[in-house]
Amino acid sequence: MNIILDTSAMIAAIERRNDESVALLRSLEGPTIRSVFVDGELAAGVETATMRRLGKPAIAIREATATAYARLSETPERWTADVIASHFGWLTAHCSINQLKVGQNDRWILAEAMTHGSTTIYTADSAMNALGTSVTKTMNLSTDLTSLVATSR
Amino acid sequence: MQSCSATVAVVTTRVGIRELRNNTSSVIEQATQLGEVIITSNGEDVAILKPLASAWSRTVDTILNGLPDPVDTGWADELAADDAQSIEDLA
Repeated sequence: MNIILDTSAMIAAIERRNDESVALLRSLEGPTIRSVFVDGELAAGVETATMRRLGKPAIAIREATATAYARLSETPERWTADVIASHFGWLTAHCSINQLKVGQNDRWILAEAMTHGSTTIYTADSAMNALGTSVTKTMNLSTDLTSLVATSR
Repeated sequence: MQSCSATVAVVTTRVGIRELRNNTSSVIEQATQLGEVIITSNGEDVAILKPLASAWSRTVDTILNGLPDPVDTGWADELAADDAQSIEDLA
């Protein structure tokens, strides 16, 4: 099974040092699949902290989160934009029909996971997990598309 | 060899020095599978045999141990706000 760590899971693990999320990172048996959209969201977080002048500790922890993600993940050899786009379109229609309110970036990350196949996204975002659960059921996938990381702290 | 239940979920395996000497490979294999084996001498715990962490888990440890102190910068809320703004394409 392949794994993608989504942005919310990385923030929970690194910025908030949530116990369950840190345990998830420690349990990894190898590099995860790198998502260009997670990468982009993490980069946006660093840039926003810098432009808003949130201060050195805030910028440092966001940079550390982005760096940790880069070190924990590997860019897949095949990155088929047309297939990902096709899955994004399907997911968007699925959301509309089923009244699931899930952000665009999360749908792109889900589309990446669907493209790679046998891939589970670990997320702290319950809306994203609801869509993942719905897709897993609708498409009768053998691997859960998402897994919700508990963030009790 | 003796096993006892330290907690509900964790079983600790104890191996005497004589068994360690006579069945070294087997004991190391157990330590690898179970995470650790306690070595006993005259019925007393004297040592722990643990496998080395894998190269990957050392990488993860290095990453986590080198982090700055946690600071909640409100990033999760920012992300949620961005998500909320980006659902306008959903009819």
